Amino acid sequence: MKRWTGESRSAACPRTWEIEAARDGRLGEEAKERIDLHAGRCAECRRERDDLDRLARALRALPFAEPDDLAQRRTRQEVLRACDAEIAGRSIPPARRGTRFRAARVAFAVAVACVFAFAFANGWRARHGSEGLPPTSSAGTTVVDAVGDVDSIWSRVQESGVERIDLSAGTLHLRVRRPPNGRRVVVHVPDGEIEDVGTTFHVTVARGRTRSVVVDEGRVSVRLASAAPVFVDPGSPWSSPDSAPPTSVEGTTVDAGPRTSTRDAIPTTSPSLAKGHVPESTVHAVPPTSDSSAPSADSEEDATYLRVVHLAREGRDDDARAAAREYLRKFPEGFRRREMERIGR
Amino acid sequence: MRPRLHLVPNAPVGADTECLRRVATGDVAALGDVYDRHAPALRRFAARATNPGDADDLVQSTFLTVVRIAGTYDGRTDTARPWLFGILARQIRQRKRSVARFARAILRMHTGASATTDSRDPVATDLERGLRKLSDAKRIVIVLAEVEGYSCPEIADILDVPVGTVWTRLHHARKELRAYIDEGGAR
Repeated sequence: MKRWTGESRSAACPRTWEIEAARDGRLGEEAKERIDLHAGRCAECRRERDDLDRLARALRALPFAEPDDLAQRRTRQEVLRACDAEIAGRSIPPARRGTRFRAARVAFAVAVACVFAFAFANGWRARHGSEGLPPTSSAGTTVVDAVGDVDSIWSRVQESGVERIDLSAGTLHLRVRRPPNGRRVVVHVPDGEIEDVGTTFHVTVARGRTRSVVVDEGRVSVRLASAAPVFVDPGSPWSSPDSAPPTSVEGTTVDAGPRTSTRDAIPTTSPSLAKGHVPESTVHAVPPTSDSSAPSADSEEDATYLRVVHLAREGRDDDARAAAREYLRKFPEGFRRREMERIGR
Repeated sequence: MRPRLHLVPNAPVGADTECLRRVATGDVAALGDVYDRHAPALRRFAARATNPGDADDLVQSTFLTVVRIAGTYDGRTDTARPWLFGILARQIRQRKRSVARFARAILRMHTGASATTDSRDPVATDLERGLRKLSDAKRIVIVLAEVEGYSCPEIADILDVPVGTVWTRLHHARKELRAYIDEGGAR
């Protein structure tokens, strides 16, 4: 391999410095033209120009191992996750919060799948009640209490200031107590992530997809690859919209009950259900058909609830009230009873 | 002929300005757009201006800084890439003070492979080693100039230094690299 020029750098021509100067823009136009003319006659200056060009080509040709597509996507996710945490740690005026949460969709298509597990598993609360999870410690550090059902497959690890929980299948019940600057808690599900905002919630994953998210206390942000991000509050559970077209959802929810979220600055709206407003985070465009054709409901309770939601959204208040009372009649201990009680008044 | 700076393809003029304005309001989705447009170039620059192992960390630090200072972007250029390179260059310079970098340097001293066992092109290997031996300041300037194709005034703007400083660093960087290679990487 030919080495770089081994010739002496003490050039015989006193103008070789102008070659580099012209290259770097240190000469005016006239001086540049003169040195170009000179280089046409001077072998030394031409050699200097060739050396500089060769050095530049060699630098550009230095090998660079481009990471594979999966590595790039993983890196992107990590970077945007870190940035989202950075944004979350800053004080942002409430008026801008909606924009930020819309943006959270891209950063973390995370989890919302809480709580329907309770419905699927004959109610985790019925089995465990409030005693199913160990008592939490006092404030100051992030405390995560997680209990999986017998058939659940999950794991837990702390990494880079984040409590990471991987749920592959089954139902996991979590209670999180997180101070404002505490360690974030993120549940990774096959099709996205669920990030806690200071909450007791339940997540169900089945056949590789998040099926439901139910929140007892606090709030979670659900960000899945197949849907826009939503927030889920108590009384406003989320279920997988299997065949419903995705709707444009904002980061606002109905304040359905007492909340222990540590993010006090999060604005919420409390639209009047009597006026036909519906919690957007729980709305899916499911037609008012029979339970069996409510494609996103995995249970009769879910289908009944979604029917109420749909009627209310269409402004059919009387029908919505009747459907809400039907729900309460069929499921007096149902998860959405508080919301149905409000609608059914 | 030195390659000239090109606009980022497939991005309308002013797209970065709008995205960074939204990032300043906390819109992480907009940050994702900026990331997709510029992260590959930033990673390549970081890999050449430091070492490939640190590139991802540096790119992440850069975007974390972007989140903090997005509101200061003035949109003078059609693309934010020079601005991002400036942030990344500062990250590289700040690395010098970190204990972690010192530890990595110690580790490299004990585990680095010698040139005699490297089967790659010896000139390229010497060039890589010569590039690593440059100071951060000179290495950043020569990569921006000869690899990324920025003019010296543009580099001065990116690094927020006088153009004379850029000329000086570039001249010395070339001189040291050529000398290192001519000596067969013996230094």
